Amino acid sequence: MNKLNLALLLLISMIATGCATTTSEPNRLNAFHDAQPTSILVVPPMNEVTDVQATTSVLATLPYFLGEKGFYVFPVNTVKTLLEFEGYYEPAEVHAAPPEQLANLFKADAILYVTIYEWTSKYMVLATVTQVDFGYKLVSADGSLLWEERLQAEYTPNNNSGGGLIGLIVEAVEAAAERANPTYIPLTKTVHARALGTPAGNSSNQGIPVGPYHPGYDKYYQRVAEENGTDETAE
Amino acid sequence: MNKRLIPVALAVLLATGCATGNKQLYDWGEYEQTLFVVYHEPAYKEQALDNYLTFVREHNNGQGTLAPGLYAEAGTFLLEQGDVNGAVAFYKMEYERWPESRPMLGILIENLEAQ
Repeated sequence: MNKLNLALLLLISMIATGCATTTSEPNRLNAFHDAQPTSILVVPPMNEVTDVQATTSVLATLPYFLGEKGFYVFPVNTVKTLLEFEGYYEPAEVHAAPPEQLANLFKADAILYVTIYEWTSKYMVLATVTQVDFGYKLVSADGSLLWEERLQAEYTPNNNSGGGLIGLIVEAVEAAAERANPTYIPLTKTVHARALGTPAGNSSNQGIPVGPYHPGYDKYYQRVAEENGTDETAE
Repeated sequence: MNKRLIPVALAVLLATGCATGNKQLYDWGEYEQTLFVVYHEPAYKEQALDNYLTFVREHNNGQGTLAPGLYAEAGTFLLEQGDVNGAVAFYKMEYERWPESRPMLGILIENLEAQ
């Protein structure tokens, strides 16, 4: 990752922080903790917007976050290809299929369904506002819901052009945007990072627990066991 | 003597903190960009796939730092080009490295080898 991308990601994560919309739910991860999935099947995201590149862009950016979190993530393009062999050409068909059947086809522990609710660039007079809005749903192989999240983020380059470091970054971003309109991808990754990458725990209402290939896996579940063991007396 | 140790200890702490903070579990290479090109930029597809296959082949050293799924993706890219033997070779690498892939790839390899 080059410096510009990193700076852009940082900048957007600052903006995205303000847009998180979750309520406090201390037991939100109970089903996940019981299931402790090792492998995650990412099916092609369902797209409720008109941009045809949204589905494949969101699909391509998901494996990194799940893999680095410690899960075996099924190869998304191979899965997409095999699903097409099986007759599933449209993401909507895949999303409508029974999760038990899909999980069994690949012997996956869990399936991640992502829905793209927003993926737009609105051209205003002074700036271009890029908005994304994703719904994430992780379902276990038996069809029960393990975790869900919905996050929006938007990016408006000109709002922050106040000189200094941010001004410099914004100038660079705008120059890059003129070349290839890459704003969607960093924004998409920022939302994935918040939804999936955030360390899960009592202080956080976002993120999923680490998977078995993560060095912090044993420690995480030890802590979960301790917290569960002291639930009756501590609170 | 104790006083002199403190800055050293602090520096070590800081250094380890930075190291673990930035460390990735796996090598991903240009995987994501390759998918973008495959899906959206057909004109650059051949070049991107060549680069991707070179990257994955460099990781065929048994050290296991290649990210999950990446051997299998190389197999699928080759399968799409009609190279069944090449595809099976990559699918077998994924199969060996990641037990979770075995039910899916076991059937796939068997079917491809029967062709």
